[in-house]
Amino acid sequence: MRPGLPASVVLHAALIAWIVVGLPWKRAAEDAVVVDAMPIEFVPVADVAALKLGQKTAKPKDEITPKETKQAAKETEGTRAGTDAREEPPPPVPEAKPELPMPQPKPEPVKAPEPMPEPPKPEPVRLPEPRPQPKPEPVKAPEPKPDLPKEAEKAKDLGEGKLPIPKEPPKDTKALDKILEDQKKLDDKKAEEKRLADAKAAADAKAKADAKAAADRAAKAAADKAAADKTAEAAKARAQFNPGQISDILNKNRTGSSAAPVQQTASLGSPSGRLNVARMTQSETDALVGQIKRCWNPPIGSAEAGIGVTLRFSMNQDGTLSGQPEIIEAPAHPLGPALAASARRALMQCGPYKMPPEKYAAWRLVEATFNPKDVF
Amino acid sequence: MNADVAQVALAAPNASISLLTLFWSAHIVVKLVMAGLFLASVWCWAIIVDKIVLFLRTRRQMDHFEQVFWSGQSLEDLYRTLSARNNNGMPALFVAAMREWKRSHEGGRPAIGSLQQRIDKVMDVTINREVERFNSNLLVLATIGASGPFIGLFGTVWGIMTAFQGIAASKNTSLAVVAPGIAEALFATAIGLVASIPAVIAYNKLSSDAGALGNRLETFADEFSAILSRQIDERHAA
Repeated sequence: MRPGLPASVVLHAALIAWIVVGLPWKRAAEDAVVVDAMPIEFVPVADVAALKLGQKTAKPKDEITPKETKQAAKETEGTRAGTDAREEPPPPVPEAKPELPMPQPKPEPVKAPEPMPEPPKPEPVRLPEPRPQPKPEPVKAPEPKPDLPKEAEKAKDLGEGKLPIPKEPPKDTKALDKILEDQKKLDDKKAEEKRLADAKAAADAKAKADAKAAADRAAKAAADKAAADKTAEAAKARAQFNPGQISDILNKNRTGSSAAPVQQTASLGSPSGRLNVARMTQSETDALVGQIKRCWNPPIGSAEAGIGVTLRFSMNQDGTLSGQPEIIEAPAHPLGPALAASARRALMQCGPYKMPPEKYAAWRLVEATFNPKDVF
Repeated sequence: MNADVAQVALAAPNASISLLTLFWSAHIVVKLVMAGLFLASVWCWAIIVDKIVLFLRTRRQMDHFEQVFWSGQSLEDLYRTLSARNNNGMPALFVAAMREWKRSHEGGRPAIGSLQQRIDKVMDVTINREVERFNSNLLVLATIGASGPFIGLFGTVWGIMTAFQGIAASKNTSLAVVAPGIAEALFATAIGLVASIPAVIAYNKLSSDAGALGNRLETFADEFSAILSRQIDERHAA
């Protein structure tokens, strides 16, 4: 007799069913919107240093003991997994499968284009080192070799030529002078390492962790010997083992953050799995983090407060910032706004960033976590 | 090389933010508010459907009855036909008046002195009863329409409180911390509006319809009363 109630119930049930099942066209739109950012992190120095010290003492790559890296990985599975992965991969892979030339050839072509746009230090310098590889030499063969020995002897001196841009920003910041100097040293070492690695085109495969360790090793090696051959081998080894390690890491953790020797940690993997993080090498990520760090002057007291801030920014293909950095996560702390502002300033100040153009898809969108503890 | 494998291994479940997950993750108070508003919406639409059906049927019935009434058919015949049924609306009005008329003429001495007033009273009572039937439950619509947004707002305020508590607890202003609370808060208001907007519109429409139908009954009652009054006066004179 009264059709109202049944009709209303049916109507609402249909509405709920509609919501549950979802609107097909709307769903498609939502899927399309999702974008993954390349995550990079600044990790407290102490933890990383402990892990790296062991590596640094080790020679090029043979000395790096898989045991240590494995232990580290176990200890810090969640957050440090990335770091472990980086470290681990180099030692074991080289030994187990020293013969993986495939990665090397690719990197060379890539590098060639880079040097041209970016005269600075990183790429051009690297090219010379790779003596073994005929291709890179023709481009900038003369420069690299001289740099290497010099760097090994006097990393600081060489720093000028290598990293003109990054150094300037630190000078501005008084508070960070010491840090900057340390960083510069580290950077120089890294640069050397990187050069070597790049020379062999293994740069892609190798992580940043290697960069520091490699830097130390490289310095020693250079002092002791020409070390060019050794470094080349090390680079190869790194390249070789990296892929395997990366996959392992990925399997273990969705996002593993790998801490670079001193400064940086690159996290591998993305929550949605859409980001091809695997393609970015540690050294590449490290380079970005190092470049940003040079300009970063966190507010005093922020390190003690134990706060951090996460920014997301997108870059153009030439490494310049595209638009304003966006604050993703800021601490609810009196220093929070200042910290966020400082991180933002650093990002805008330090560009353009030297990134491999061929991997633009991987670093187009970057999510950087700034933790002042890392700097101090 | 291993990149492909890595990508596959990376594939992680995306946290879906559907309306249902919003509901289930809400605070119990907000959940109650949402459920209450949903039930209100169900009730609301039940009334709306009932009223629309009732008014349509009544209007059709009135049209039909007026056609028959003014067709010149004998009122006695019409009364005989209709009195056997259970009537609503205009026929009920007619039957009530005719019954009073008949009763007043029963027996040896017809009581026609104040028959006019009695018939008017009977028709008034019938009209009141019908109009009351038209208007019943319309106040529910008015209530839901007026209070729905406030109830939803209550849920919203509660959800915002949750969001701020989240900020305080995590000492972090990340969107991820604030967003769920805000979303569930806004969802409560959305449900409130979804329930109350149709209620307000339907209340205005239905109450004006009910008034129109009531007026139509009044008009018919006046016309019929005039006819009966003429009959009474003619019998008086006779």
